[in-house]
Amino acid sequence: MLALVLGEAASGKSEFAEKLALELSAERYYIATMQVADAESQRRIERHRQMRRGKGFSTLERELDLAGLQIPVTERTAQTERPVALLECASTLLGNELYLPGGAGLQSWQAIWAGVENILRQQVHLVAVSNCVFTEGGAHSPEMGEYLRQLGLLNQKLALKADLVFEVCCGLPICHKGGYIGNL
Amino acid sequence: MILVVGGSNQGKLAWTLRNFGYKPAQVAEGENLALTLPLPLEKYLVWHHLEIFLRRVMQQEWPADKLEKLRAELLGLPENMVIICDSVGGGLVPVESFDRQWRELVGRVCCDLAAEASQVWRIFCGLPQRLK
Repeated sequence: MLALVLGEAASGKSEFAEKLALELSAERYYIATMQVADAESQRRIERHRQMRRGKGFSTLERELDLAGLQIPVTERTAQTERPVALLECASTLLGNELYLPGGAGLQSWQAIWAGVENILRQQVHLVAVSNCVFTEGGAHSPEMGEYLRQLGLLNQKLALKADLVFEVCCGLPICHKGGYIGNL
Repeated sequence: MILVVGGSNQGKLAWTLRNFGYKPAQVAEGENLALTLPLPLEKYLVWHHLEIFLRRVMQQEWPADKLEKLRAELLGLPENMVIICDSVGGGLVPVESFDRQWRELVGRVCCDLAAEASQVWRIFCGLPQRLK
């Protein structure tokens, strides 16, 4: 199962994505993508850590190359249950791939999509979080334009292949694809 | 006329061509469509990037009567014509007065078009949602 959770900044998309992951499996992994660059990113990371404390996520740090990520194989408590991985978030990962040394550059969105396929192939549910940043209008620098172009293509690919697509607004989910799940 | 809106980079044009069975050669681009009235749209079934066309109109500082004619033409476009327009009102209030007036114009024109349109679609991540 692939689920895509989208929203603007501070829309409550991460909290919703966590709830969705909680519903999907008891074995939970959190794919953290943000680089600790400064005090601000450290604060954001700490806020997210607090939020998921006690929810049973094991954190996997991954700034680049999602296609090379191996989800740990453990003794499953229930043999029939797949683990779930929460990717937080595709838009940060795209920035990393575009701008960090060793990133995929102009092929970044395809590299991230290959990473998503890699995780799904490991029989793991994936909840991918991504950003909505497409309605500001106005002129962008070429670099910003390229980021928007690639994020648009990545989001579209994820939405096309996802079983569930939710947009979160003020913490409330709007379902764009798939059914309403559980009591979220 | 049919209106298709949504953020930038959401696959609006690709969806429009697929959904209505139109060809890329039938697409007029707001960036280079001649700024003349009547609108030179005879060969086209899709008008892409209305927001950019409106920006060019503003840059030319058309007089009020010409703007009124443009408005009447827009609202009277044929039934099978699809207008695609980026949503541009989702950011902070722009610093430049020109940009403030532009996003206001784009938003108001879309409201007027939507009121006249036989169909209105919003494309989100390539996924269509019919609003009207």
